Amino acid sequence: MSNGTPTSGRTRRARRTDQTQETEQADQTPQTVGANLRPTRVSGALSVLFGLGALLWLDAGAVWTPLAIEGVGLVALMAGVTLVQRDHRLAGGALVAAGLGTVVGAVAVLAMGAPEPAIAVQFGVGMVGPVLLALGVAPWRASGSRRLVKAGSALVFISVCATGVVEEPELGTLLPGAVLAVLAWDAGEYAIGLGRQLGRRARTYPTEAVHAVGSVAVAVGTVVAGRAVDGLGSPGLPLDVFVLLVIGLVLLAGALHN
Amino acid sequence: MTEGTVRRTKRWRGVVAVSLFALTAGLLLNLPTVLMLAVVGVTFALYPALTGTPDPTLSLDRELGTENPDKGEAVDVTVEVRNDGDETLLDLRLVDGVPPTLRVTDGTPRQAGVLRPGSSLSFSYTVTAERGKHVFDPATAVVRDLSGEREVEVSVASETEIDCTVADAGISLREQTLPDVGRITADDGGSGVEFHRTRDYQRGDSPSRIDWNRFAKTGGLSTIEFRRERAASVVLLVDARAAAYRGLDGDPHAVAYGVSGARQAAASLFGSRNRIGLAALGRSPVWVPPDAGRSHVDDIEETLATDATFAPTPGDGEADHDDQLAQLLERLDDRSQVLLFSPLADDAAGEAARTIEAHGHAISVINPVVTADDGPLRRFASAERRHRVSKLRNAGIPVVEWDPDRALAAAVDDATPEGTA
Repeated sequence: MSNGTPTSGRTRRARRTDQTQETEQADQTPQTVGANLRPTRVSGALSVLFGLGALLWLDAGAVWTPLAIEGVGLVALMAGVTLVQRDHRLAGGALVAAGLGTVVGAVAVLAMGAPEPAIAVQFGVGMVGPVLLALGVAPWRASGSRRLVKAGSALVFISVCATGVVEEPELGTLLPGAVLAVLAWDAGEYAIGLGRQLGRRARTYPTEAVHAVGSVAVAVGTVVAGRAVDGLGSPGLPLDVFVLLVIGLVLLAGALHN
Repeated sequence: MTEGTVRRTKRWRGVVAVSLFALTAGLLLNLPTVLMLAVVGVTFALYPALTGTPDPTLSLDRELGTENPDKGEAVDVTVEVRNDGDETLLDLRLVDGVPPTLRVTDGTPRQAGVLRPGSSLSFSYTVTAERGKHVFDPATAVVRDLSGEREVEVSVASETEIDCTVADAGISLREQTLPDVGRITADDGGSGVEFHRTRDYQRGDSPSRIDWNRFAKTGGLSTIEFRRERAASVVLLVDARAAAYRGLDGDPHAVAYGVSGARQAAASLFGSRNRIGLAALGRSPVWVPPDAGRSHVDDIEETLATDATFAPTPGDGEADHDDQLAQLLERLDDRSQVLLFSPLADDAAGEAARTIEAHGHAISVINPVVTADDGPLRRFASAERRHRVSKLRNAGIPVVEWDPDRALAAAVDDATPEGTA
């Protein structure tokens, strides 16, 4: 396939000036268009939004301001990386630096505003998650990193679990947060996979939308099922019986994949 | 439409870890709510079980802005893919099989879409025409189910060809000829049109060839000889070993150029009534014995377009090329000469050329230049190539350095001093 990275255009020009000065026509030849195999935009943005949404859902009152600031920082970060890719290195680099600075500021705001240090720690861990997600789906070079996406959503999930430990809220608060963490990973992984196959130039949003709808439907189903089980289960069943039940379910789910 | 390959992406497998983490944390800290989060992993792990393996039936239609463009002309390619099956394809990814020798200069040959039964999806992109015939490869479609757990890869073929052939590539041949009449002038005398030499009359010489002017002057009989015109038997040898799949990012690799060059040479040599054969060094042996005629040239073009040895990507296993070379030398008859298309990316290619020359077959090398001079590594590769070229030239083997942006004929003209063609 004759599609390369954006840098190949420059190499080509360099070779031409070296070798074929006699063919002036070569300068008029249109440049090869690279496929730009970077993670797709829609799913990439969704991934970061799901990550932020999970944290917001957990405790909107305490973390609204720092999360909003972090959101602004991440937008700047991703826009900056895009600018760098388009060869506006200076402006892009400045924007990336500003974005990262804003994110650090957001964490500082959280640390100062939190009523208890434990809450600051629990959300501080979570707030690193969306940054990793953003770096995974808007990479500086190459075509995205599944590892960063995995690590980012794992941090968000750990933050959800930590909230469960520190604040001991109801399952109705925790479960959507956990589900959103999984959705963040799903969208990020999808953006990278689709980007590596088709690239950003292709029109991909219809399939991205359909995929996201499918995953969100499963997520909603999970929340509904979780609440139903919680409503009828935990008061009556002793914890160890309940644990065995859940272990059984997890083993079943694992077996399906082998 | 071929049967597809079904793959499991196993992308949801890791989600069970979420369950195990929640389970352990909930159990250790004795928190039922955290433990309940294990449900998340379970439902997402079950998700792929709810969706089935897609069974796509696709057809593809490709339309060209023009089928016979000039070199450098932009050709719009419009692709329409239709869902002929009876299920909705929720996640279709399509990559069109752009000929490896052409560059996409606008748009993208890739597209994604959701296709209901009977509906179709179309997109277009632009390629820039280069010399030669360019056959489109089948498009590759990957269809995933909603969860993304299973994907089916199929290739959808539609015969399309861009024909930008040049009238005559003007390949010059070395002086190894056959006793047939052809365009090559042989270096021995006989009947022909061009004066070769005079010699003493021998009994049986045709009276029309006796130099009567000289007889009138001196009284001695002498015979005029003319240059004979003879045909050559040429075997086009394409270097398609894994080492030859080299090229700058975004440009076609040297094998694609070698194949394109062989096509141009075949067309040119056919025009001059020479016998042409085809061979390759690559993953499997290729041999089309030298012969003449339109249908034979078609055979050669067909082999160049379809044989797996000339595929756009290098093969996995490498064959024994010494074996292939030995086989080729056995097959060449005494008067065959060889035209080798090689990027000279390693020493083995030059070695092969010298071996062929040593066995008494005149060989010329066409060297598509796919190296560049920016950056130390590229400069090194470029210097190595130039060194191999000069080594071959020192051994008396002519080498034509061919910048594939130009027609082969132009490169050959530049490399050939006046009068030797």
